[in-house]
Amino acid sequence: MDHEFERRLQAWVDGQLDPTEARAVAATVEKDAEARQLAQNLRSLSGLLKTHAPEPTVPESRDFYWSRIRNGIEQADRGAERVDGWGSRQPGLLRWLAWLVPAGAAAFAAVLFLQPSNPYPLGLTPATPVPALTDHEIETPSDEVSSLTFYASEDSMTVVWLGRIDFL
Amino acid sequence: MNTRYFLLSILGFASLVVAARSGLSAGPAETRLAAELIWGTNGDKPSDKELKPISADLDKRLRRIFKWKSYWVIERKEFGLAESKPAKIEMSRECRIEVTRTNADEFEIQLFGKGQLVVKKRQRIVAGETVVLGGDDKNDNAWFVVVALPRK
Repeated sequence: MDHEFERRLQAWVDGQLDPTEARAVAATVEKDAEARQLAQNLRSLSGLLKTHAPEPTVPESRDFYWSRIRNGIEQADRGAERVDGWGSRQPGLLRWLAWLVPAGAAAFAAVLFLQPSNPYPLGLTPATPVPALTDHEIETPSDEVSSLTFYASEDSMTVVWLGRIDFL
Repeated sequence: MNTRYFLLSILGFASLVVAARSGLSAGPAETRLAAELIWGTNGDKPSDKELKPISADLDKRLRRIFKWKSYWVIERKEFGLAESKPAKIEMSRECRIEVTRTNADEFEIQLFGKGQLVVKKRQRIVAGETVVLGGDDKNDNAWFVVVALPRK
């Protein structure tokens, strides 16, 4: 039984063949014990999947998602209008503050960038850890050792999985 | 003096003071790390009473990624690390790590098994992050070397 026949057999079990092809496959299945066994396995697998496979459901409806996006856009628009109005209408010191705040932020950012040896010079700790795999290097000197590296952002964890090593 | 230039001068001066203070306080501070050699198993609780279960937090994080039913600490060591000076940590008779701080927040971890270099990993590690080196072992067990930079 070759791979091509296995594919046709699977299609037959799924009811996807035209009548002529289906008859041909059915005749083979009747004569060939191996094909019969495979067809039986495929049917039982299909039954198991129908019975036990979880049905993925979205916790919130499509309409709910769209309404959240629409609300977000509307809020952003309203916020932009408020900033424009505030900057143009306020007199005196408040107008000064309108550009002093960004200037201060820029100065603060410059201070941070000017500190090469200490990334958090003001004792700041980043709330979100920097993804570790943005700049990393890995070497496995032995050809026999295989490695797989990934970063689990939720757990702030870099994992290097090594094959064929016995330590314990 | 124009008010705008006066305010800018104050802001610039304040920035310089903050920069100078942070530069002075940075210094060659020692970084504290923790390394653990961990055994993961699907079997029963090990008979060796020296083995302790891993912390609840690490247990939760490992379980989200790996399949083993329980995890046990074989060895735990805390160590300090000055810049560019490697720390050599014996985790077991056959397992050793060497950790070097190559830059402010960049570290190189070398794992040795039976005296041979197995893997060399260089990457950024910020406070709260963990690097796990691990692999399968006999009888559906696994080993893990966990290097963590705790939050202060």
